[in-house]
Order: sequence, then C-alpha cells, then structure tokens
Amino acid sequence: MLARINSYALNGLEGYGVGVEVDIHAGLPGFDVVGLPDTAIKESRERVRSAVKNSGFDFTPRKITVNLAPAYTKKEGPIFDLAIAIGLLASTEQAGVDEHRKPLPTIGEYVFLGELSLSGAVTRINGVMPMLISAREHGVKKIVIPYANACEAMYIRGVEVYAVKTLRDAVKIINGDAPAPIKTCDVLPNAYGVVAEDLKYVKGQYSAKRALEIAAAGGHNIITIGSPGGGKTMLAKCLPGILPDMTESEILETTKIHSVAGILDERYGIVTERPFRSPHHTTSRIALTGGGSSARPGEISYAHNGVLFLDELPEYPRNALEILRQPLEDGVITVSRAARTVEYPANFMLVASMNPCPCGFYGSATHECTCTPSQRGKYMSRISGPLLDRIDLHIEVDEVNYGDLTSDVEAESSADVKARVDAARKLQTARYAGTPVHSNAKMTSEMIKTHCSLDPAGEKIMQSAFDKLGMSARAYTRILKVARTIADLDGSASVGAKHVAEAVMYRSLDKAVK
Amino acid sequence: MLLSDLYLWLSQSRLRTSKINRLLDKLSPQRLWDGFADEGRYLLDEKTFNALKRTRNVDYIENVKRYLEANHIRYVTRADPVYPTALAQSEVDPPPVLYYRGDLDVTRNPCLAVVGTRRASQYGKYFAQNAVSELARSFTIVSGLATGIDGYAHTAALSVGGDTVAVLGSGLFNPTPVSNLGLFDDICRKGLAVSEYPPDVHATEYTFPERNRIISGLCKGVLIVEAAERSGSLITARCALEQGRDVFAVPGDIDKQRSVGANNLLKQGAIPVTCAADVTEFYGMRPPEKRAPQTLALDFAQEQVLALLKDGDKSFDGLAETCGMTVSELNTALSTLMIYGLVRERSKNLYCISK
Repeated sequence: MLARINSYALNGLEGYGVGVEVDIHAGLPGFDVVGLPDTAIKESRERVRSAVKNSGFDFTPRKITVNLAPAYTKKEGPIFDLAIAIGLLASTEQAGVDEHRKPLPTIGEYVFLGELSLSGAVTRINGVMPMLISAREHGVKKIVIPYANACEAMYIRGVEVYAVKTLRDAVKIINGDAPAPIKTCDVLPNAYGVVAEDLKYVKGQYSAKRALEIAAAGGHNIITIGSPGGGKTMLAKCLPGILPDMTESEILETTKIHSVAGILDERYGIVTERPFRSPHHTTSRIALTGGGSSARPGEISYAHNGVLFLDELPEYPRNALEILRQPLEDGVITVSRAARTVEYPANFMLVASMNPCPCGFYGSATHECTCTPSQRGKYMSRISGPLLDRIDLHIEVDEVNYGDLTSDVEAESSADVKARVDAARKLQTARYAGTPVHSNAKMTSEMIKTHCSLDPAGEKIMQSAFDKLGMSARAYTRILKVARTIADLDGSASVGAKHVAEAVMYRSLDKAVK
Repeated sequence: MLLSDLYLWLSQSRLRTSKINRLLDKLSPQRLWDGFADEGRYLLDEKTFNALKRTRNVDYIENVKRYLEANHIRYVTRADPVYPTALAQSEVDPPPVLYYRGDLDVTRNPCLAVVGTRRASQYGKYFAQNAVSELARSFTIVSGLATGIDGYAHTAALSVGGDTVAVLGSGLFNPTPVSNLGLFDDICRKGLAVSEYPPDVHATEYTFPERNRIISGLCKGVLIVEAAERSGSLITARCALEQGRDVFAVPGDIDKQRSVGANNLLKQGAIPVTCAADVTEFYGMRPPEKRAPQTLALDFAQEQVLALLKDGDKSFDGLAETCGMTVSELNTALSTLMIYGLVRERSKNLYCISK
C-alpha cells in the first residue's frame, strides 16, 4: 500500500514542501530511497529500520521504495527520518489506520520533521525556524518537530506545533491522540542577558571608548590600530554590551540564519542579543562568506544584525577580505553554486583590529620599531584601499601604563553608554523612517547632503583639517557621517564645528598615509 | 677630440672614479687618448686597459652623446665651466662626468646636505619636515633620495618651492628605492637629480657610500638628522670633514639606537642644531623671516588643554584625567588645536605644543 507523508526541506533560508512517498510491493526484500537523496538520507534507511524495530513495531523484510518529491531538487540531512518511518508504518498499516484498517485523514494534515536515533527517539535538527516560517506562509496548519527544537517554535504564531520525543509519540499524533500544541510567547530582546565585557573594567583608553560609543550609535565600521597588549580585543568584546537592542524582526532574521547553520543555543532556541562573530584569521574564504555545494551561510551571515570582529586584519588572506566589500555595501551576499543560488542577509558591523607594523611598535613612545619602511608598507598594503574606504572610524590604541591598570577610578559602565547609544539610535530611526536605511553609517549620498549640511564654522574647520592634516578626499564623506552620529549623541539637530573637529580625530589612517 | 668628449670616454669606460683620477694625475686626458696604444700599455694594468680600449672609439662617443640626448639626460664634464666648482677640488675625487636631469644652476646657490637614517622616527620626520622647509628658503637642500630622512628633506624643500638636489647611487635610469620614484620625477622637474654613473648603471652596495662624497662635496655643510651607530650618514659626515665642510647634527634621545650616531658626532665636535636658525646664523645669513603668528580666538577648553600641555607632553588618557572635561569635549578641543597647528602628536598618542 502507498502512503504519502508531508515534510519540509530548505533552500537557503526558504523552506519548500517535500512529499515522502513510501510504497510496499512485491519483490525481493530491499529498502530504496530515490529523489536525489544525499548520503545522510541514504543512511536513514538503517536508522529507520532500527528505530521502527526498537519502538516495538514490526519490520518484516519487504520490498520498500521511498520517493522524496519533487524528485529534481537535491535533498540533504537527516530531517526526513521521521517522515520516512511514519510513512513506513502507515503503508504497513501499523499506524494512521482506523479499526477497519482504513487510512485516517489526519495523516495528510501534518508535516513531519525530525531525525531518528536507533532507539526510536526523535533528535534535534537544524533549520526548524525558517521551515516553520515558510510552512506557515504556505498555509500549513500542523507541524510535528523534535522536542529538542521546541524552544525555536515558541516564537512562531499562526501554526500548531507539536513536539515529540519518540517515534511512538509521533504515531500517537497521527492516530488522533494529539497532545496540546506548543504555547507561543513573545520575543524579547536580551531576554537571556548580554554576555559581554563591561566597559567599566577597561582602564584608560578614553578616546577608544568614545569611538566605540560613536560606532555603536551610528552602526559605523571601526578599526583599532595599536601595539600588542593595548586591549584592542578587549575593547571589541565590550561592543555587544553597548549596541542598541534588537528589534523583533531583527531577532527573527538572525535566528533563521543561526537555525539553518545549526549554531543556535539549544537552551534558548532564539538569538535575542546581537551576534558577535570572531572568525580566526585562518578562516577560508568560503567559511567567511558562505558556500559549499549546498550553499550554506558563512560567518558574515551569522553576524547579521551584529558584529563581525576580525582580529589582526592583515593576517587574513587578501581574497577573503576583498569579498567583504560588496556585503559591506549591500548588506546581503549572494552565494551561487552549480546546484543553487541563495541570497543570505549579511548586514553586519565590521570591527577590525591590527598592529601598526609587523613588529607592532611603530610610533610607540616606549618601544623602538624594528621594521623597515618597506616591511611596514607591505604590511599596510595587505588591506586594500577600497576596504579601508568602507571603514568610518580609525582609532589608535596605546599600551596602558601601570598606573592606569591599578587605578581605582571606576569608569563609566556599559549600561550608561548604552543609554546614550539608544537615544542616538532613536533619533536616527525617526530620521530615516520610511527608507531602507537604519543608521547613519548606511546613509546614501543624497541623505548626506540633506542631513549633514555644515554651518560656516563647520565648513571652515573641515577645510583647515584637509589642508593641515593632509586628509584624502575619500575621508570627506566618512567624516560627515561620523560627525552626524556625534551630533546625534549630542542631541543636536545640525552638524556643527565641534562635531566635525571630533570626527577628524578618528581618521588616523588617513593621516598616516601622508 | 674635445676635452669634454675625452672625459665622457673615461666615464663610459665604467672605471671607478678614484682609478680614473689617479690615472689623470700622471697623464692628461689628451695624452692618454693619443698615446693609448704605446704609453698606455705599459702604464695600465690589463683590466683597465681593456675597459678603456673597448670605449676608445670616436663613433662610440658620438653614439653615447646621441643616446643621452634622446633620453633627455644632460651631462657636464670637468672641462666645462659650469661643472660645480665645489666638487672640483681633489679631496672630493671629482667624477669626470656628472649626468643630470633638471636645472644644474641650483648648485650655484649655497647648498646644505640633509641626511639621516632610512628608519626615521616621528622625531626625525618632524625635524626634517619643519626645519628643512625653513632652511630651504636660504639653501639648496642636497640629499640622497633614500627613504626616511632623505626623502622627507627633499619633500619638505619641494613643498615650500625651494631647490633640492638628489645625488643618486645609481644611473639616472635606475633610481632607488622604488617607493621614491614619484619624488624622483618631481625632483627632475623642479630641482636637480645628478649621478656620476652612466644612466644604465644599477646600484650596488659600493655605489651608495661612494656617492656620499658628492653629497658633502656639493655643500657648505652637512646636517645629520638621525643616524644609528653604523650608518651611511656617518660616511657622509666623514667625507665632509675630509673635504673641509661643516658638520651639523641634531641631538637625539640618548637611549635610542637611531640617535647614537648623531650624538657621537656632537661629542666629537659637530655643531649642534635644534632649529633652522642655528644653521643660518652659523653662516651669518639672515634667518628666514618667520610669518607673524596668527592670533586665534581660542575657547576656554582649548586654552585649558594648551595650559596642560605647556607642563609637558601628555597622552590622551593623561589629559582626560586631569582636564575635567568630558572625553567628547577634550576630543573636540584637541582636534581643533591640531588643525590650527598649535598642538601636534609627537609620537603615537602623545601630544605636545608645536613650536
């Protein structure tokens, strides 16, 4: 007899329905899966066989054929295990039939997702949240998922989700003995507390801390340059603590990506704080942007709505850095492979750190630099102009002296800074309402013209800064954007001379180029 | 045969200048050419003889002249009256021919060599940029086109419209380092680039010390800005002493490797220089007129930062803790002062009053 069970699969972040057809017919005993399955699915035959047997059902050798429709898309992962097992039980009339051995109509109402263990337990799978969202859009009403994924499903309204622990629980559901669906609840930013360093433990470094505040307020990309041991990494790790709260749509977007990638925290099942990704500099190009034959998302997508921290920027392979240019501009990355083309969101804030030269002590007052000018030039040239062009704030971080380390002066806490950042962001949200832009960093040239017009005093100081400090032309719009954010932090509607003057301080690389 | 062509012959033979000059002590160029076959064979060793014989050809010399002209390279020989007079003394070991691009007349003004380490610190860079831009009003600045101090000195001279001379350690077709090629082109257009080597000669480790004698030879004095204990700049200083030129040195930190050489020179009696006027007054020139200091209206915060910096150099953190302003106010004040040119960043994150 033929049984057809509904399931779901993912193409990038979009789910699509997959029909799992199981047929038992005459022939030599065998178990075949067709419909472009990958290795994990082919292996599911063994898992299903054991799970069925160990759940107390009958598995007499028969000729079994499983088809995953549509047959032309490549299916991946073990998420069809549960659907195949249910289909097998239904076609052998062990489940989903009434007392007259007639199939129950319930079987077509549900979508089954889940991996099976040999014992018959249903185990955790990746990508539940995007599949639920797509299924809801496609009009699916009832979905069965593994119990371990239950917390991801809590935030999806408008669809009944049933969490099962074992194959027997799933069988109970199609036999018409369904438990209550999962209760939904609201999404709350920072529901589980932010795990970040607190700015109050950073001694000294006032200028750098101020720059971080500006970067967080305007969503600006930032690079810290300094000798080893200056606290560049520590400063970057403080950033999540002062970033503005995520909005509900941001939370769902980021959670979808993390769900697909399988990096969600099992306890929470949702990303409520801005992600902070720090891939090591041995990271490959593909790992950074996403790709592979299945076009998976990469680190820059994991960092969507959050921070991508690249420590020791010049150590990254040049080709890995150059591909950041387009996502930095557009906020999305299109991963194209022979099998599929997927667009992943990648709207991240780039935070980078680097040494001023290979030995790390160029320009230091206490150590002597041992690098030759050509070594230094080579080191700096590993970061291309176009990439540097997309970084608004450059700050220099110096070694901390002993007195600062041991001083008892309590610095401002992250919470205080965050309050100011939130206020500045609110101004920006109001200003850019109705446009795709959310923060000052993403302003278009036209917006710069309308929102960053300088008063005569500001114009004059900008002029002198260019003459005196040898700024490059590309620095001009960057300074305007940063000055706009400084004015926002100041609560000022217009950009004045003092805002420009402060913004000029954060262009150290432009000055160094001269 | 013209005397200048004979010198060109000697230069094109690619023999070392010292060897040519030793030869010329014994024979005049004309006699060397005329009596090459008989007298020369007894006087010269085989290598020298072959080198001279290879180029002893009137057509060859004419070809060389056409080649130089086609490549816009001019030359001046010791037979010409425009040959820089300062070079013509025997202590300098004057090259028979100088190949140059640019304007040879700039060497007629008083010249001052400014040389120093290739690994210049912020301190050396500051001095080279500031003092040299003042000195360039009174002197033609001569240096060696190297990175570091040499490059800063050339750039500073050009930036104020002064004259500058680059003495290369290679032929004019192969200026080094590559990073200063842009500067080299500027100097060819606005100043003078000169070399004793035929244009297609590549630099070797011997050519640089050799050309240092020309740097000092062209000048009244040599100013060493920063030099390590064993530095090419010290060779220039030694040449200057042998040639009877004045040696000036800029004192540096006693604990820095790159100032040891300059400080040693001071101990041995070089003239200490802390500002451009030290040099101009030494030669009894009127110091270049300083522009009247601008009167700027500073606000309270800026005055306060200036007052704090008058007590000594301070880091940003040091200022932030003592000034009692918010970081943002301090940033604004400091930035404005730097734009006005009243404060500069001495080394990374260390601010001081600029004079």
